[in-house]
Amino acid sequence: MEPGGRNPCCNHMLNHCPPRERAPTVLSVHGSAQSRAGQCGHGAAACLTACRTTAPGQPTGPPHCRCPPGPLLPHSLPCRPHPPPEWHPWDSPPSPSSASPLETSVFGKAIQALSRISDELWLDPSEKGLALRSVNSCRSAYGCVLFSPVFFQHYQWSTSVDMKNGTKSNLNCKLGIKSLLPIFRCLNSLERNVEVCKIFTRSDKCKVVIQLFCRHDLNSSVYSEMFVGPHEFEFFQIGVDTEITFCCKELKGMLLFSEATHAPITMHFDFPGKPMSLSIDHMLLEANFVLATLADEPSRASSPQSLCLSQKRKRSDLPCSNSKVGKKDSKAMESISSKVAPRKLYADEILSNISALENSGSPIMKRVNSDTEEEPGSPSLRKCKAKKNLMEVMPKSYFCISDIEHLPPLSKKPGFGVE
Amino acid sequence: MEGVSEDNNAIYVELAAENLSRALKTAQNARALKVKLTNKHFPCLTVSIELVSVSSSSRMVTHDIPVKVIPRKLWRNLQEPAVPDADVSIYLPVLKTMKSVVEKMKNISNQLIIEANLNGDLNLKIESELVCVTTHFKDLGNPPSASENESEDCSPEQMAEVQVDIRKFLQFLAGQQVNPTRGVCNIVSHKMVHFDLLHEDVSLQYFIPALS
Repeated sequence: MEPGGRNPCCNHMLNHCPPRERAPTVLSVHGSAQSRAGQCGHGAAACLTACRTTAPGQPTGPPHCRCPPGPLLPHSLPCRPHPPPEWHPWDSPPSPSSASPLETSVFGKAIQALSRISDELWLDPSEKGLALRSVNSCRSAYGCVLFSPVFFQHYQWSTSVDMKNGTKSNLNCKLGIKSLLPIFRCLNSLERNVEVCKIFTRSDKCKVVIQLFCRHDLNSSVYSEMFVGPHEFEFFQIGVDTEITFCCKELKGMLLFSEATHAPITMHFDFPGKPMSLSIDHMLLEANFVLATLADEPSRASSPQSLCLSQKRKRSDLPCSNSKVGKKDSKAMESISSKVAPRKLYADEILSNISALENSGSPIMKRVNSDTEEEPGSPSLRKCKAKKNLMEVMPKSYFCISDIEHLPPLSKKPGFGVE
Repeated sequence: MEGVSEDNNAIYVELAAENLSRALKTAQNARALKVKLTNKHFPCLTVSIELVSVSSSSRMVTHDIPVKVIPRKLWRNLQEPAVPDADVSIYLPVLKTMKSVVEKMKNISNQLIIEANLNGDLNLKIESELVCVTTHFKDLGNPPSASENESEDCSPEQMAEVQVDIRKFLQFLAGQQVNPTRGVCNIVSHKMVHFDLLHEDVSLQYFIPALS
């Protein structure tokens, strides 16, 4: 076995391959299609990229790996991907080569196949290509898929990186397959929507960055808007003009549940980026759902969606089709200061126009629009921030607002609000 | 409502049927529905639905469906097809009955023969290597014939037949949500079948070509 804990299967392969004196330590794999206007610059929390060139005459399947199952030494540099709150690929992506159609589904299917063997996946780049390997804990099954460099539109790996302590570091990359699988859950949607897929990693960084660049054709989405007047609610108290955007799919689940319980729903929200919460306070049960909202970027222009819904800003609120805002949660209500002021453009009252699509499945985000640009430092907002315990409810770990199927049709990269 | 111009008093738009169908699903129990052609950065069909709500006032839901406006020079491709003279015209039986019959037939074969005569008989036939199945509908009645030639040349018993793809026929039957006041089936022998469904204010026509 090679000292330093390299993947022994690779070592075995070396007998068949040219010796790797310098292990690859920088892996940059990417493919791209023509970028178009409206290309969504963000993906889900974790983005996985696999790209494929359809180069004629090239073998499309991975070559056979003849490594027998053998013990895998635990490597010295665990490489676990975790979705960082903001995406900064530390390696600048290589410039895209000429456009060609891309498929991520083959890559995704390889990961799915290997996930049947083990919960861990090794990512092994070499000049032969990128190998994905998996062996199970009782050493009775082994799988390896080697993607040749021509599978990718751009495949780049480089020599070892000098670590701070003077040693050279080779890429030893083992990933938890459970982190990767959700990304490839919906392969059909990937094929339709993903234009580019990029993977970056370095041995001195403890993460693998996978980016999906999706295409959202704005001109084929349906925009929907629903106005619900304040008198439709049992309790309606709004302090601040707000526009929030969140994922419809998660809300639907809550609404269906509330219908079953016949209990009213209380909804609390703050300015964009802060989470919103939905709660049911019933005699027999209590339910709380907390959803992240898209954060406002300072330079953000109105999205195409809000421009399309440029009706008059009527007075309206929360998007509960069958439920009403409960009045039980009086303590929570303190957080949203309510000032009885006549309606005017910069009133403290929230003007919320929510887009709701009641039965449709189109990827619509609910928007609560406002006419005003609310400064984060304004007194009423500070009050909200100070008082409410929404933040207590909010889980500490970062979570993704939406899955691949329901990406918002925005062209900018949003920052998610994270506590 | 106005079209492009006085001479061309129409507007042709193309849209994804699924988008419209999903938008209209919210209008199941609507008090009112309005459809407008609007321009919200791109041409849209705006469907405004007034929903009944628990309080006395109504709730408005608006859907903007992106559409493509079709230029005038392509309008002639979209004209209503000329209906050739039918060999036999007959009133249809209850659609639901036909649908349940044809659904079972679909499992046996993909080719369905529709035949009818001027005596009010309509048959649906399928054949496979092992079995032939025919469903007979009798006493359906025939609409008064416009052409005089038919009654002279062929006896009322003579069947006009056409073979169509059973799945297309099923699609037509499955799409009907409301039973029409009157349904007419026109058969042009070996060429096509034309269905004309009359509802109160609406008529729907379907053309299914014969299998070659």
